[in-house]
Amino acid sequence: MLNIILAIAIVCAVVAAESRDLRYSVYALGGVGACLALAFLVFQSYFFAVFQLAVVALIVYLFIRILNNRGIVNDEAPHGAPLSYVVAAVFALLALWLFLPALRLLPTPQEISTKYAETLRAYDVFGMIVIVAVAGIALLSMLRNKGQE
Amino acid sequence: MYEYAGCLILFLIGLYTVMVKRNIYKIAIGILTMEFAVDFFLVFLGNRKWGTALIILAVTLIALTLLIRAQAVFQSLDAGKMKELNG
Repeated sequence: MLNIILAIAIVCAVVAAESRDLRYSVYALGGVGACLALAFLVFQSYFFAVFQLAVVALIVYLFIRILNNRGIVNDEAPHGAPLSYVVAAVFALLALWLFLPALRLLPTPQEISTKYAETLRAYDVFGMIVIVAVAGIALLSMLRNKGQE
Repeated sequence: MYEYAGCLILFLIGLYTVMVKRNIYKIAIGILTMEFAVDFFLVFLGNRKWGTALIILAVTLIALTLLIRAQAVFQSLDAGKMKELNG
């Protein structure tokens, strides 16, 4: 089941990367996030699944709202230089060479999904609230500067 | 093993998007794809916390703000035309 979800997420990521219509790219990105929510469901973490889905819906809404407000539809920027393809391929090969041997050592997700206890959740939530608050303040301050200009 | 390899592939797709595409919105989408890949990896490791979703939200907010400002300043979505940054 997890393999199927991951395969769908990979297809969505490819569509997000290659679609010329930016709105389709954003919807495909939402598909990747929805697959993550499905993974939470598989592990029976229902609250996290709903929370993840809500966050993904908010992200897609923000992207679409901005794209519509600014009248941006198509990805008209040219592709990167050939060197960027080479650098990306080198990074990919390096990552495969470094991580694939390590991945074999990891246990399967089903074996370890119930072993981890969630501790210090209050500090975790507090930290996350601080992060989102800082992001929100940064967004408001930058948009206000734009208005003053 | 295959699940983790899938996470790696997802991460590499995000990396490809960031390195090859020049549209700034596509670059942001690539960064978010890489974040989702890392989240998949953490979920498979059993680290199930709602904080990961909030980190993605925070990164999206900051990225969108920067994109709006960059587009307003440079009048373009092409990252290649944004080399003349004013400090």
